[in-house]
Amino acid sequence: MGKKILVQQTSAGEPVDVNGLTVYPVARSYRINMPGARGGIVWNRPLAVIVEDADGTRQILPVIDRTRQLQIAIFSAGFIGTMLTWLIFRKSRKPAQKEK
Amino acid sequence: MDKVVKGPGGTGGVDLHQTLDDINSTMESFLETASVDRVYGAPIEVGSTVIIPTAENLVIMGFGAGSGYGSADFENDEGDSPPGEGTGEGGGGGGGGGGRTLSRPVAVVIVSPEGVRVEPVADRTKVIMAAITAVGFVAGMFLRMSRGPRSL
Repeated sequence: MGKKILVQQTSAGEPVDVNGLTVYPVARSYRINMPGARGGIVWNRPLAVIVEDADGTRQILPVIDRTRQLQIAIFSAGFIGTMLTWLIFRKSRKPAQKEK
Repeated sequence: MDKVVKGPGGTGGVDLHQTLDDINSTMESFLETASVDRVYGAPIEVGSTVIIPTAENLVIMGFGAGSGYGSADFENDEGDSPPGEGTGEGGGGGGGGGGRTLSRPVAVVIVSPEGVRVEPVADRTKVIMAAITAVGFVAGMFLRMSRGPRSL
């Protein structure tokens, strides 16, 4: 059986004990295996931290990638702005062309 | 003319197995990058507060290797070429690879007596570059459309 092209893996690291709290770091990795070749791509990012207090209560705190969120928002705004500019000029140009 | 081509006989001079072993060991190191330890840094203690840095990393890697071997024996050559006998053999092999690792901070986990919080890290340079690119696209479209239709 051949290798999977895309492998997703979620794993937890060594817990850190601080001030009576135990923090479990959790990461998610995506591995892309190139079919028929040696090598590939590994994308590894933090997912969340699980905080466990002395009572055993667990809380999940997601790790937010603010840079990526801002990049996506800006690029989306840029795309929408570009499309709106195109649409506005296209509409205003059409009647002028018809008059000719 | 009697020409015999032999298969690989192990006398090629290039140790393909060694090359493959090297590639496999590098591949194992590559696969190790998909671990939690590569994402969360060592905890830093500042008084009663512990800071755990987190980062995103992207590793791209590729390898290739190949080898060839050939052998020929000439005995009692006939025809235009002068008669004689001799042997010839040759082998060659090679490999290559390349890769790149990209890493950037994502957030810091702060564990203090007040509790645990995750503070995101915003990379201003990346955000500004994204904004410049987006504005550039809008401005480019604006200029293109405001010029009017091109006449030949």
